[in-house]
Amino acid sequence: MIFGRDKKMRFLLFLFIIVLGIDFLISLVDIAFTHLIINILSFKIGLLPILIGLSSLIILSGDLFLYSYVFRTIIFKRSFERSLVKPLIKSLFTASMPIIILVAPDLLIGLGGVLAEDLFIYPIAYVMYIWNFILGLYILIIHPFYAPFSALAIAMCVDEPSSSLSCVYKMMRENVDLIFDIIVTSIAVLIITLGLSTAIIMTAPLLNNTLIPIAYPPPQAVWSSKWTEALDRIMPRYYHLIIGPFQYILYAYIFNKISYRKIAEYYGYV
Amino acid sequence: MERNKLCTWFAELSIWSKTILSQDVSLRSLYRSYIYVVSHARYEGLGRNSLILDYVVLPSDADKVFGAYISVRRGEPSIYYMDGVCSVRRAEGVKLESIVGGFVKLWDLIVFWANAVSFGMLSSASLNILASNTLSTLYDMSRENVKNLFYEDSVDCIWYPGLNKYRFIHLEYVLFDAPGTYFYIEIGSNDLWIIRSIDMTLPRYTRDQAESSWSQFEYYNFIMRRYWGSKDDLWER
Repeated sequence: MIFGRDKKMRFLLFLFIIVLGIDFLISLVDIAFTHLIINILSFKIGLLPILIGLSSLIILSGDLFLYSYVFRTIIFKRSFERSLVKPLIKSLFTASMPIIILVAPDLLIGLGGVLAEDLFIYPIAYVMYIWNFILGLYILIIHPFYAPFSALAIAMCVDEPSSSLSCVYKMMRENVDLIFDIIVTSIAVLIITLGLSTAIIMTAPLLNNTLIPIAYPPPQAVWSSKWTEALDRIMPRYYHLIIGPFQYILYAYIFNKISYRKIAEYYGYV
Repeated sequence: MERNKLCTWFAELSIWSKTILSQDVSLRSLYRSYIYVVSHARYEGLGRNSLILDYVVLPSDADKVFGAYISVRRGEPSIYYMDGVCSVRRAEGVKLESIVGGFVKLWDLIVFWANAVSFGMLSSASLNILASNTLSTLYDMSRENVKNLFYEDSVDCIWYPGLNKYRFIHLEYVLFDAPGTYFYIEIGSNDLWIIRSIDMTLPRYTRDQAESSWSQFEYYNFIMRRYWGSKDDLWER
């Protein structure tokens, strides 16, 4: 059904490229540039919180965007048009407010650290080790439920003719009844994708052994050795990239099954 | 004979090399550092020797040491695998981790238990897991770390201070190999972009040369004993 129409195919392709792109870039930063950026980050310690703030903001807001995309396409069966970009950005910004609040200290203190390291060295320590601990807890525990819940509100708000900044919160208030469905869906999707990715990794051969020949890293060439090492470690992630887009589609599909009646009753979208 | 008993360094198979090197690397590095490398060998038994390198870095025109690198490459083929371990003996400066030590320990505990119950399996199937992985990687980068990288014919040691601001760093590098092996050592420090190394070859001394430099070795011991004191003052500031 999903694969039947051209629009859906385009959507799938788009989704895949987005997730693949984000994952690939983050993986590169995460692994390939590790040895490179460690020196730079140690040189200007303010850069470290900035990197944490920016990467968290991009990934988590990207998560909201992908959820809202699948909800709109699969649950509401509506396409994204260019005219919706403005309300989408507005809604995305409002929904991302908790994320922005959480990463703001990283960005501010990081900027201070770059400009005046001696002055900000202790605040950086507190933000890095204490505040980011709270950020980590949000990412692991709250975000998996907050993301689809707020993305549902985003998907509803982009169609509002007078879409204001408060629209997302208004919709979230109205969707309170759906929180239980969101929690159930999140847990179900987590279990399914976890099982699936584990099964793929355990059964499929590693890509680095089959498709791309990895040269033995020459010890003298620091650069080339780090790159091949990075490639070597990135490869298994491609299996997750297969699961990545599938996860969003699966989420929307299960959520639609569970909450179809409620959504149809409340909003008459379907 | 008496001397042999006192010092294993002079045991029958142990005469390798001893080099005291002090270099200003301003021409090769973005920032000037004074790098002081002392190497000495010891017979470990079972046909293996240990090569101990003491690597001391002091920044010259930067206000801290923000990276140190040492790579030991074998100059001739050997039936032995290269084996070694690199560790921090002493660092002087501002250690930020100690300010919020409790949280650092808490983080370690959570990471340990998360690994223990296989949360690591989640990997990047979901973007929030990717975000937490990235956060975790960057968090680790904020901590002082020594990385040992093993290759067929070389062992690399990369040290970085994380958020700590050190003005002095002393690494100790212990390598195990067959007696009489030549080593080429690459050292580097405080390079911002790429660690451009300085090649340094450890020569193989004859027994006479080694014995004649014995007084120098004693002086070295006298100097280094200050750093090799009790473990408690390892992080003394």
